[in-house]
Amino acid sequence: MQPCLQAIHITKIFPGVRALSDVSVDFYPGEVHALMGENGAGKSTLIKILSGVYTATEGEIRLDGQKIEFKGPRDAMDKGISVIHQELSIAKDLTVAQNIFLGEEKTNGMFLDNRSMNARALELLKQMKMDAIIKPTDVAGNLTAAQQQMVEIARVINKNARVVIMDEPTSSLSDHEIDALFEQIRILRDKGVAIAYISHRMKEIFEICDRSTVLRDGCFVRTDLIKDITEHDLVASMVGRELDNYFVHTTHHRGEETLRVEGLTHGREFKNVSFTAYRGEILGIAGLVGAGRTETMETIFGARHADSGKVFVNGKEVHFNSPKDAIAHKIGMVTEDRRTTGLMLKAMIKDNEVLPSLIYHMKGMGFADQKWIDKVSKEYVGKLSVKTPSVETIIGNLSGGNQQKVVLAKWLIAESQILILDEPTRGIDVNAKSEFYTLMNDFVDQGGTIVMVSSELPEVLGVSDRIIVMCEGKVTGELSREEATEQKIMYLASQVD
Amino acid sequence: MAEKSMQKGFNAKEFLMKNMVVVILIALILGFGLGTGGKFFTANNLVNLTTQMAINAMLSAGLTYVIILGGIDISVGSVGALAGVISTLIAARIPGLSRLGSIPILIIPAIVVGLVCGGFNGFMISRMNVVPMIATLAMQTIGRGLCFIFSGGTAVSGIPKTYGFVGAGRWLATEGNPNGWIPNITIFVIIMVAIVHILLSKTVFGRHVYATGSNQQVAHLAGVNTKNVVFLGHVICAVMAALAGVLNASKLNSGQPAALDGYEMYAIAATVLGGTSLTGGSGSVGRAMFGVAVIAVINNGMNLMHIDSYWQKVVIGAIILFAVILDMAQKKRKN
Repeated sequence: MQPCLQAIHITKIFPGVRALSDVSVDFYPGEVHALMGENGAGKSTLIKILSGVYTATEGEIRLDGQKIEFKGPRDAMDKGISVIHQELSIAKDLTVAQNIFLGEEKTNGMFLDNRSMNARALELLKQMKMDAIIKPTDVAGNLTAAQQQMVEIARVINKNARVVIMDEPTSSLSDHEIDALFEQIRILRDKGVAIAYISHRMKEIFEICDRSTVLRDGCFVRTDLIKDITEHDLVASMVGRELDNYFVHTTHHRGEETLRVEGLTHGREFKNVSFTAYRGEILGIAGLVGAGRTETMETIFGARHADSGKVFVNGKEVHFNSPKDAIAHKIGMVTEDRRTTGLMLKAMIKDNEVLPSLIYHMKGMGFADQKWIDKVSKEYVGKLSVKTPSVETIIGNLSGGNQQKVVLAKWLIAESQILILDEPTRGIDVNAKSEFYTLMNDFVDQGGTIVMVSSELPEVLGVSDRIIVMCEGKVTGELSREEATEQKIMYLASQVD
Repeated sequence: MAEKSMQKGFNAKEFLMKNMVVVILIALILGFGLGTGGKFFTANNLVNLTTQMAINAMLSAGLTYVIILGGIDISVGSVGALAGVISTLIAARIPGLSRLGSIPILIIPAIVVGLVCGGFNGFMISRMNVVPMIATLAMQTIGRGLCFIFSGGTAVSGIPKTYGFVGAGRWLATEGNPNGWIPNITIFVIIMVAIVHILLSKTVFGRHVYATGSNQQVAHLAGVNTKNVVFLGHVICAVMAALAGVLNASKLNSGQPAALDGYEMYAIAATVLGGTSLTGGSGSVGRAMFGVAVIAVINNGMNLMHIDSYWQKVVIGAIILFAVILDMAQKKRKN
């Protein structure tokens, strides 16, 4: 079979960095092709070259065997290459139909032809079997993230794209929504569209993909048919070393109670949530996206207020008006979205590290203790082996994994005893995840308590000592490490009554 | 299904929130109608009201583009004044100016000034990435400076009476009202506002204005040339402002270097009252006109009631805050 899109001996050099060297990949029509590799392996550079955002320093792109050069993203799109980006590309103030036709509106002479655009949008949604849920005239911002993604897919179908590049399309979807997305991917595939699929989630790769290509440090490693490769081999070729145990789990020693929640309730977000966490354990909170886990954690941390319910820290009831009170009680929270709520991206590493602790380390008159800041920030960058030239580096320039280590350092410096982690390894690569789990274990071994919200089942199973499952704002079950399986968690996570 | 039908059903609170400006307008009209003992409702006053709305209508219609784009333009008053000064300087050098001949003397300088000033704003914002507030603050100061330089610091003198044809002339003279009933300026403004309204709501360019204001990155990735859209939005805004400036000069038959000082606040207030979100992405020229009407009614009513004009500024400032809070409350409910 003739590949419809080929990258041939592509090299891309940025000033000072060789992002890709001599990478060749073929994409075949009617095939889902996984592009894999750690962050920084060169996947995003490759897809940017394939979609016309960058031009290659060396090498060529071929479309149906013909060498072509893209003049820009628009040109690549016109030639049939569409990208569904990790962050949703939807204008939230426009309607569904307006989004589908954005950039290629139909007109009647001078004016927009809304009627025919709405009709065509309805046709597309019918094809996708989504017309019962999404209407062409719905305002896109009122749809759920998953529905917005469906609108993007409708846009791609409308463009008659021949190659669709999907960059971590499932990162904000729940399992049900992932199934719906996969159905659309299969429809596209069966129509003969070539799909390049980027994801960190192994399970998805084996479910939806036909072929995989692994990149490492900007170099091509291997291409295989999925049926010929094991998960173990894939992970090993991504990290370049054998990973004996991907989830480093050590046996912890559970101590006395540290955090207890009783009957916590807030509107429709969560109802009557109760659980207890102990010194020296990692408590996993599993569930589907939208189960109310983040809201519950933010309430415990004082960022939201409960309608009713009690929170006890070390056996004493507490009332947190704001996160400031929680921090004073030695609680830290690593938020779900590192880039918007976890870090000050434009600030230096050291300023991020000491932010919650600053008020406890003031000299007279409220001046910041610069000596302490320099000392402690360097100490923790070393302890957590954050890869950076200095603590004065702007944090936005670090990789996701290193950024997340700094978020953790922030709470360690604040001497947190209870850490709430919300999706702590989202969007960071395999190696960094493994390192992060080790840091979590160290924290717990030293007598800390971790409450970890995670939507990745292998992570919950691999890391937690005990697992609580939530569904639609309620706790639906508790499982010990020994009894927990993916099936049991999924069963509890979908206990809709 | 139950949820669907609830969504479709009439929601009085939502309807009120969405059409708050209309409710306010009606309340104000009734209030002032009573407060002035009916003086407000005389035909003369109502016709006057349309001429008082004219300048702000032009400013707000143009400003709607910029605010939907997520920006702001605080140079509209200065740009208008500059166009007014230049236009009157030209008119003063043409002694035998005819009434119809005054039209190009208004429109051509306005378009040139609008293109130059809007081009400056648009270039600084879309290509040099200057924050809109700062770019247009610079334009505001530069424009005002140029007004005083060109006019020599005083009002332009020696303008022929015919120059006032568009701004102060009227149609349909009757015996009771030999000056005519329908102000030319009202007709001119209605036509211009209709054009920019249709451009925004019915054309591809207009759709791209909404898309760019809603999410510039998304629009860019969909192949919209967002830099050009931002640039053109500012040009349209400045051209409308310059036209407002020459209309004002024609109306007063005078080229004042200090004209339209502070009018950007009236225009921002009207636009935001009309439901255009300061965070960009939504709004409409047509609805901004309701905001213009509210401001005109407040000013007019307060004048009729002999309330000190300095209080008008206080009231307008409060109205802007009120409108923004309303907008934010609606946003919050949506999320």
